Amino acid sequence: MKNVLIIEDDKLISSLVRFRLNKDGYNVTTVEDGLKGMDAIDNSNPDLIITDVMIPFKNGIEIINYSKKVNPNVPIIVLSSLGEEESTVMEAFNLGASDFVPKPFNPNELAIRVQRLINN
Amino acid sequence: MYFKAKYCAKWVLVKSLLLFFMTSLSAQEDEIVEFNSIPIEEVMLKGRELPGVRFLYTVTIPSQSDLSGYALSKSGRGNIWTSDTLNFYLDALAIKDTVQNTFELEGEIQSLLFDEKIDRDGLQAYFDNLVRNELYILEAEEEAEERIGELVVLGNKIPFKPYYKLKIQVLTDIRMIILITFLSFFVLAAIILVVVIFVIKTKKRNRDVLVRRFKDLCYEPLSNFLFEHSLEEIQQMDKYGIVEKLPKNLMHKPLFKDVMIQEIISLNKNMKGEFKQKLKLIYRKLELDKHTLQKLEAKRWDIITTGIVEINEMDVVEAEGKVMKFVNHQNFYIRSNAVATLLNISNDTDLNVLADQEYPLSRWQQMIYYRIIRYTKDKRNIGHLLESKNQSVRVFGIKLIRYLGLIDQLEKLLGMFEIASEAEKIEMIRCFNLFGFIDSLERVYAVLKSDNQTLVLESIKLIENLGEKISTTALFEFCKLTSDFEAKKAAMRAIYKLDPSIFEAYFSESEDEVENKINLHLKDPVLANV
Repeated sequence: MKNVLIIEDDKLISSLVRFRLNKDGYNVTTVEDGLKGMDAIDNSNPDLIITDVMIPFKNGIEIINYSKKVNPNVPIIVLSSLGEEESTVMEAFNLGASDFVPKPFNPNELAIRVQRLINN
Repeated sequence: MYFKAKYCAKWVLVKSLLLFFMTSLSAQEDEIVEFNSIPIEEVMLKGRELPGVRFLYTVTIPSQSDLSGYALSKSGRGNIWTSDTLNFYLDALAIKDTVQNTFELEGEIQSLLFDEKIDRDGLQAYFDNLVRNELYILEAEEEAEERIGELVVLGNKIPFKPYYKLKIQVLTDIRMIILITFLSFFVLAAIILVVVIFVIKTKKRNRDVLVRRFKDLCYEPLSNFLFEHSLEEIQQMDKYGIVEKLPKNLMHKPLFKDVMIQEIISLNKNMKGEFKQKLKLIYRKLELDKHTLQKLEAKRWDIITTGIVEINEMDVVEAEGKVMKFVNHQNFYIRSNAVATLLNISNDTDLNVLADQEYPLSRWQQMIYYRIIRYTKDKRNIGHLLESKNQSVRVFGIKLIRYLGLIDQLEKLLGMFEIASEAEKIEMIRCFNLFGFIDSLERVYAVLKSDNQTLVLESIKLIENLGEKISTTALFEFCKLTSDFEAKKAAMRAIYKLDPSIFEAYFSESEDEVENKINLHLKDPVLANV
């Protein structure tokens, strides 16, 4: 069973995405801030990371940076609002983010992207 | 007025300090214990010895009689005979009686207090003091005669009578009562405040705990509805079918309903596609719209605002009439959200809700309304806003023409230009500038005479951008008349760009120092655009 780590401070969204990914048979871990996210990257050995940009303590960019140092092969999906500055999105891609899903989003669409990245 | 107030404040301060010190002093004053004075004669005739008190009998005789046999001795001068100082008054009285009976002479008994003569009143006062200070105890003296040597027992039998009674003066002094009342009021107010804060904090803490619990209870059922049921399935369900999957016992609680609505709205903002429709359907099926509408009846502005926001987010179109009554509400947040909601949910293509605004629009409101108008599908009649009685609405209308690129409204703006206010003219000129509206040129020349610097600068910018060489005449005239450095610099820059040869011909030989400096500035390749 593949492990997916969700780093998102909005519990409702993380619960919803977890519910959706559980349906597809993934083992999902959710954390609500950047520091816990870094711990989870070390401990839960994720096959894919979904992270928000604006999260407490460490932002999404720092998470991508850290994840790429620990395990450069783990794909990362950045989940953020459309209002996010273009420079932030570009920085996320430059650091190695695999995909960007703007909010509002369709959870089914996100699940397809997760499946595609994990299978690749 | 200011000095009067200052003087009053000083007066109150001084009075307060005086009151404080006087009340402090009065609190320290003690009352002398009242007692019944006993005539000194009574004590003396009982043959008691008073500490420090002695008696002296003195008599003057006419002849050369010898009174040495009567315990008297002759004093230094004349025929004055005196006794020795006597401890007891009765002894002096005995000598007096003897002399009186024998020689029929009165004589005089003098009292001495520590060998100094003292009159009767002084002696009485001295005696009273002794009694008051318990240095002379009458009862003890009487009993002492009977039980000499039993001083300890005697002492125990004497009731304690303090000289100073520590009576609290506080309650007899009106100033002190006022001060204490005042302080008590503050202490009481502080206690009440602490209790109220504690109660409010406790309530808030309890509410937060409940909200967290209710949120946790919402996640799973909502996820279930979104992923396990199709839109058609939810449509076919009735209220009870949906409630079955939720915590039934909590559905009647207003707080749970509030949490449900907030979670649905939060998801609605973050989801797209079919999920949005599902969420709105669940909201309606659970009759949460009724709970939302109830909020519009509340007295608290924040509850009303929450209700209006919920109507906006969940598209409760039937609430249009109820929201309408809040569009000119005195509360800014209620008013702003009501207008935003109606722009969203109503089919008001003429934007009457905005045009009829009685309060001025803030920049924040304009930004919110602009976003709604920009992204709504229906075409709105922006021109109607220009007919509003509210100047800020007209200004917003002109901004919308600029932002939305409504070139067809430029002629209308030009027609309004003469009668427009300065704020409107500024926006109109910006609008003409953006679209390069050449027909506005004649009207703009007239604006150069205005005292409003922003208006003048915007006009010069427009003239410069329109690029008509003929405009240099008006700009030269303006440069001659104006003393405003900024405006003169802008005008000279415009002339320089419109026709450099005319600029050179006119300004290269200028005697005006300011014009020469601006000239050099404009020609400097580094400073030209500063």
